[in-house]
Amino acid sequence: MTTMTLRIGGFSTRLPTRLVLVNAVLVILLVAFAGQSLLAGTYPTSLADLQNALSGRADKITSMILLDHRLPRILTAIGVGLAFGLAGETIQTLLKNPLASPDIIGFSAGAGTGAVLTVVLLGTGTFVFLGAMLGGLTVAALILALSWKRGIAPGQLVLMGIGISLTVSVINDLLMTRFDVTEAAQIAKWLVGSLEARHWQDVSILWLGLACLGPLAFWFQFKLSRLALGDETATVLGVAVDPARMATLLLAIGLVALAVSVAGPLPFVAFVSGPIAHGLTRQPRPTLLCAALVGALVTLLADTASQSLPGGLTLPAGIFTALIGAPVLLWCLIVESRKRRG
Amino acid sequence: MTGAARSSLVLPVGLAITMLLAILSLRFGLRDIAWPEIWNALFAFDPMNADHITLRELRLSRVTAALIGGAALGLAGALMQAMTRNPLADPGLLGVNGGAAIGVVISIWILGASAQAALIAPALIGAGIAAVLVLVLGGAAHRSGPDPTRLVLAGAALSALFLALTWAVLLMSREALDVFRFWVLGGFTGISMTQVMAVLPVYAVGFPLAFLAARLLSPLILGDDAARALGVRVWLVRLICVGAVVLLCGATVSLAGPIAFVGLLVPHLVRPFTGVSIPKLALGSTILGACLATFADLAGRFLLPGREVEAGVVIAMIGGPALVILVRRRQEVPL
Amino acid sequence: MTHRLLTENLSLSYGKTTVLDDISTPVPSGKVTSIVGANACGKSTFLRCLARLLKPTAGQVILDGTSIHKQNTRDVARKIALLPQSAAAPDGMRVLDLVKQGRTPHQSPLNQWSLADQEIVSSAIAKVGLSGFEERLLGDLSGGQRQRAWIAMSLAQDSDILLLDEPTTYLDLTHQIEILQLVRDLQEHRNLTVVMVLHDINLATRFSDNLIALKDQRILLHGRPEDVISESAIAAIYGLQCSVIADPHTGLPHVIPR
Repeated sequence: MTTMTLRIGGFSTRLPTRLVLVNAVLVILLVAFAGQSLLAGTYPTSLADLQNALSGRADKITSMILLDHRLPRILTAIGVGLAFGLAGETIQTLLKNPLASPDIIGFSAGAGTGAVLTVVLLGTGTFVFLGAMLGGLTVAALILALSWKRGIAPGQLVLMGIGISLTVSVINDLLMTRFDVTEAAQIAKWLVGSLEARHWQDVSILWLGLACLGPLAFWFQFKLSRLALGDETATVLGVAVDPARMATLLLAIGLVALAVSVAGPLPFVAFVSGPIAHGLTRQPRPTLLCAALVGALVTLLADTASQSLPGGLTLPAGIFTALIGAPVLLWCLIVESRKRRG
Repeated sequence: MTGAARSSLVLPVGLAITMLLAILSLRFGLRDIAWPEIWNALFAFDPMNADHITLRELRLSRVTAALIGGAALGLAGALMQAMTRNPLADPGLLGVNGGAAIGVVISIWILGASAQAALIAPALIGAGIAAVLVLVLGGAAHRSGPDPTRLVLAGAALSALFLALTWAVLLMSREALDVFRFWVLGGFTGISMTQVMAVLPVYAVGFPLAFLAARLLSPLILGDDAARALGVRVWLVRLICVGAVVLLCGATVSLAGPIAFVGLLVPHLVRPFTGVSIPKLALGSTILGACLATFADLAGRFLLPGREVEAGVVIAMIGGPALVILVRRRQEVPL
Repeated sequence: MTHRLLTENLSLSYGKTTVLDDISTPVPSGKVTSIVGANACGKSTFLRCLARLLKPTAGQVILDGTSIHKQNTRDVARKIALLPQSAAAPDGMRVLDLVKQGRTPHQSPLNQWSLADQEIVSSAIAKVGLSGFEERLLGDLSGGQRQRAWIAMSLAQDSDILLLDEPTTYLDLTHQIEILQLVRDLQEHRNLTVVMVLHDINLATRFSDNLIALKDQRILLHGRPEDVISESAIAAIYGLQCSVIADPHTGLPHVIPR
């Protein structure tokens, strides 16, 4: 396996060629699909239309569809995918368990309860996102506090998280039986996660958050990859284990909070990005950038698929994240086990 | 008290408590039945007596379902955790619940089924198909049998796939959503003896197979290679184990809906008493599973005035805090 | 002579079980010290206390005049390296990936592969005889090769104090001698301070300047091998009847069980 070495002034890094290639291909795919998703659709447009729209020379409808409808939606999809991918890879590496994902720190279930309760208490769906954010953060904080014992113990955190998430999701199920069926359908749509009707406001919140948290995540990748060697080895290598673990966890929670509050839970993106990235790059985890790109690609594809159903049917993107992610994960599993046994 | 004494006492005590709960479940409910009438209903049945009918038609089948269903889930959980060597492994990970859910939803959507009894067959079929898919993708056809990690990941992936399809149907069909949101809570209310009898053959194969698997699994604690050196056919053991889990959970989910927590929590509660012995763990989990489900079913009758709370909900309410206490009292668990 | 590393009244217990009881000893600088003793006498625990992996219940470990637990963990990592007894690496890790982790205390997230890193890592790999294996997956190596990869990681840490917890586990006799000779050479070359836990008393005698024998949570004997090893000493440390003869090559005491 060949590698590339990069040294510029005080900056130096070593990159396996395969990792660079995989990431490059993912970026190209992402741009291609984003472009396709921007221009194609029930109202087809051309590259020239886009140029005109950007410079303000296009007609009103074209400009509205491209700039106010499709572009924010695509940018939201990519941003949410990046955030989920980063968070998923971080948490799975940190807890050393492929079953761990942000669902495990209770965020998705908590966000669900928050959302449903907002609708119950306020009688309107306007503040669903706020409720989701609050619910998610509350449950995540509860799990962190309960599993705290002179530091974060990963095993305890995972068990605690699964337990509390299960309880909270049963509360969600119970609440669902309290509505009439029409309201229940509305809430269900949100619980699945959707990217419909996103505005520039959502885009700016999301990308502003990403601009703050993303670089921090990559900064902590250095410590995270040492934590993957085990607590003892990490300590020997001079990494303060407890603070590093706490910081990366909080970072992951922040990323998930950001993504969930903009798009709903979008099941499976965070869970699947890391294993797919690992399967593609064949690098020891964490491979944050690759996982983030995979997350973005899965979300974008899911959103495109959710809009191109036959017969004018629309389903939320959250349905398709799992429909796309699961087969890819299974394919990775099969390839990996062939390699290992062959 | 020594550990050995504790573990030899805990089984009879657990069994006694379970039986007591079962008897109390016959007695109390929205309509209390006096002790002599319980005896008469069982041994001197009067078809005109409302108490007798309630007991025979509703209570008895419900208690039976709770006992068997809880036992099956506890046992399946113990097997799953022992086989995958993963304390997070829950029988639901084999995709059984997801498969059952999609079966239920599709049968409501396409066939218009709505009665609980009509959901058993589609749930069982869905669970079976899901389990076979997970097994094939999890590598059951391989020389060394299903690889636990791969099995669990395949199960998680397929569960998510089924869940997505379920939601897709639910968002397209109001009728399906309306039935499904009650089914998904899980509980033993309204189960008739005919329904119990319908799934009994599945249990009749599942339970013996599961206890056999628990015996066979013991050498695998030491790792696959050590087990092979002891002459164990690892793939066969794994296959028996997974087969048993699928039968037990498939039957339970089709009877009572998806009941979370029993499979995950019960083995953790039992382990301090039984130690690492898998057969003991399996037996203990069976008893405690039955105990927990019966208790939840009974408690659900009193929690809210005038309305029963589903056993699945009660179990989740007990399970969450119980797991919190359990985890906090313990040293770091190895993953 | 002043010692860079020493323990003062070091005690450690888990609940009611005492593992180390009031141990005060210097660790001779620029020497190889081996900790010997029967199973469960606290050897590894003592070593892990020295590496600040375990926090003592009472007393302290002093490094360069300050308690080791009060120092920045990264600064300590530049001074002390430890080869843990049984460490597991994540899936998909290659030899080079592992060894370069040893450079962690000298790196930052922006400066992860400097020229110095590259040179030290490849020389560490060469020293343990794994040149040409850089891109092999750790999972595909033999037990001995994997152990040597971990030793290379500790060497890459480039510290003056090297702690080794049973470095010869999984190794055949040739590689045991090779690794211990390597430790000896490094120590002499770079004037390292080496502390290791060894099971084999004869290897400990042969490759150490100092022996610390632990028994019942305390130090039983401490000194040069030729001064410490005797039939009565072995009987006291291990409860084993033996003869001690002079090694025909080195003249050092050699223990032969009866």
